[in-house]
Amino acid sequence: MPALELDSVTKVYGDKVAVRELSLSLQPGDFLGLLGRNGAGKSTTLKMVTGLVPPSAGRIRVLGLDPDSVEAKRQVGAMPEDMALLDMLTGPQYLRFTGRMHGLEDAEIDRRAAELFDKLDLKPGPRTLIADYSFGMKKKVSLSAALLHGPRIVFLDEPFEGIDPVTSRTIKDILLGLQKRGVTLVLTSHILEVVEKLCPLIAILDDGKLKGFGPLEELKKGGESLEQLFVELVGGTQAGELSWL
Amino acid sequence: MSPVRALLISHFQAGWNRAIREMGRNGTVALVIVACCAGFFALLPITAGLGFTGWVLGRGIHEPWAPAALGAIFTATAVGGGLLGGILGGAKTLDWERLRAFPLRRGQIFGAELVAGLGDLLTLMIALGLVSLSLGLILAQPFRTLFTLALLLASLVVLLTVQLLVGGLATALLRHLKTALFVLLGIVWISSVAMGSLGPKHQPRESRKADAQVEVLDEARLRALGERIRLAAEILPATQSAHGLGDAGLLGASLRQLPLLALAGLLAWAAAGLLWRESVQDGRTLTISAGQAKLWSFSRPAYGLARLQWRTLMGSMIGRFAFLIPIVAVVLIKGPMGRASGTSLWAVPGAFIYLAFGAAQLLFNMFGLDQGAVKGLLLLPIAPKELLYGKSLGFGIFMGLQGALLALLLALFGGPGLAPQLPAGLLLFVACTLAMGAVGLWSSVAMPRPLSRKRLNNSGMPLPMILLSMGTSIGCAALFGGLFALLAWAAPRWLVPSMAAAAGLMLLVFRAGLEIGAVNLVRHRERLVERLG
Repeated sequence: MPALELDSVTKVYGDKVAVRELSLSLQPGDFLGLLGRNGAGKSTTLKMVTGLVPPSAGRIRVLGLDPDSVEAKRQVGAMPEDMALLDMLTGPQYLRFTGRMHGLEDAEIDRRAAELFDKLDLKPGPRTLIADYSFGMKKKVSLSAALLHGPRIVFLDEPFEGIDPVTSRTIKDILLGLQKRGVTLVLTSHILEVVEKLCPLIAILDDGKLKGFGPLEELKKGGESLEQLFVELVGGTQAGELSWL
Repeated sequence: MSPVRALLISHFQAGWNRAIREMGRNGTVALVIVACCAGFFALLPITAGLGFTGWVLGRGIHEPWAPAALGAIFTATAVGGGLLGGILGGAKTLDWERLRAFPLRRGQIFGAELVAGLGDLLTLMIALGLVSLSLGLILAQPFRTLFTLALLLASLVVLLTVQLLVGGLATALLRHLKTALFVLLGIVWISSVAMGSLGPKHQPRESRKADAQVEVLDEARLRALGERIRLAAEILPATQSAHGLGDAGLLGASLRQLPLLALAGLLAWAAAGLLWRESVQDGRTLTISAGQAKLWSFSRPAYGLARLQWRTLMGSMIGRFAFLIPIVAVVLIKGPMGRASGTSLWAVPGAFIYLAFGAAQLLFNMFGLDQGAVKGLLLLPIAPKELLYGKSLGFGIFMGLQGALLALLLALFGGPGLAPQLPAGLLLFVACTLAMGAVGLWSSVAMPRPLSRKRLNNSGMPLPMILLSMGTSIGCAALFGGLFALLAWAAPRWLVPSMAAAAGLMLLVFRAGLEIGAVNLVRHRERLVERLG
């Protein structure tokens, strides 16, 4: 059974088609880098596969389940575009809350949270609300919450944005470790070097359409870099200096 | 383009765009037309009356009473209007915290803030009243137009600044809710004692006859009273300014404008400082107490969600402000409305219905304070019904504590006549809250909009929401309030059982609403994600 299956998925907002006829399938243990320019439809795709918004047409299955079902959500870890944290809680409270919602015992949640915070070098003040965390700290909390319950499939929207290089390295190791254990991973990123090193599978979206999908090595037939491949498929580069500078 | 103009244009543009996003272009145009029509019919008599008053007082400006009357009207309108606007939430409009990042001076942001304050409907109406009063004066004294304009300008600055100061002080006070509650409880106690001593008492017939004789004032006493009022009004800077309209010499007239202009400037300076400090405090890191930072454990997801909802409500200015409503209700009953007849029939139901309606904005928009975190809630592995149930439980605790506070205050300060009705009043409150909650389960998904946690000024409700809120409020007041008053008058023994039956019935309606709301949430979750996220 595929871990993730999208069959002719389309999403329309008013007059704008955000995602057009998107079809792809991932097996357990696959690691997909979802690429595209701003507004290409990456975040909309992640919203659909996590059940936050329904597709206008087509069919989505996560581990064979409707992505909006409680059963699917139990097995999914997600870090949305803007993290969507419950920022009236402290970091430890948030993880305890999320863990309890996933049915974990308090002691187990605390053990996992301590390990995650330690690995991600997250040391929040015990009485500081998430609302007052720095951007990078919020990212780390959001990532921790996405991984806390041991999901079978993980969706991460820009996980490396605003993260320091050392923690970034740790996150990469964690994600690769998850992949080895058969967890399916999908991430979006604009840092193509990271995606190139991390993701064996690549999907490139442009204006809602899938421009390329498959193993990275197969896509870069000519041996060019991922950046060259991306620009070639998406196009639209603009050279030149700013007139007033 | 000047920075102040740029700020204002961006502010009004953002407001317009937000309205279009929430209601669509046609809905926004319809709202503007309805507001203009209502404003026109409400404003026409007020502006015409004030314009005529201005003209009459302007014609008689050399009479000793005219400047005093003008000073009193200008002062009462500016200060009273500012107080009312500030209390009703028409405080800070611009987002100072973000504006501080721009290369703008404090005075520029404050200037834009003052003008933006006119966007509040009540303030706009008061300001237009002042303008028409001044127009009447100008028509009567055309050669003193410049001085009239100075009087108008200073009064407008006072109006808008008092509004900002009161709103700012309320916000500052609400940061420390316990302090605010103690301060207001003190006011209630003092009002209660004062009103109690002034209130109507059962007096023997002879005594009442003697009082009636005393109340017949002769003409000389009336004149003396009028003179005392005039002398008191003479102290007002606005009266001095109005005297300038009748002065023959230009220098003397100009000097008389100075006190009011200086007062307006001083107020503006104080308000700018206060708001600046408020914006600095908004940006600082907030910590919670050790007790609040304790880790939560709960046996059922709904209980965790209820606790989260409580934390969210109490972390917001609107949520904290709700705990002042019981105190306001008691002040109203003991104060301005205490002299009305039939208190035993309307005071208790009126206070509890008022309290229930105070939370309408929150009950009808349950996800508003969650803002973008609504996505986090929808990602949780819980059934939609459990999510709604958990949030409703949180609201239930929030409303229940307010109801208990009101009941306690009425028991302490309401007097012996009201105490027996409190159980029935509480049941009426439960019925109203459940009815509004049932409607809120639907409207929260149908018409969501983000609510700011840091501001009291969240009054920009879309028209359909205003109509829904008004309809539900009037319906609940008529149904449950009417039933309460009828039973209190005709069959007091049946009051508690009937109100309990009404609350029980509303509980059944609410449970049905949960089922429908859950289906609605699944179907329209996208609306929540797009509008709040």
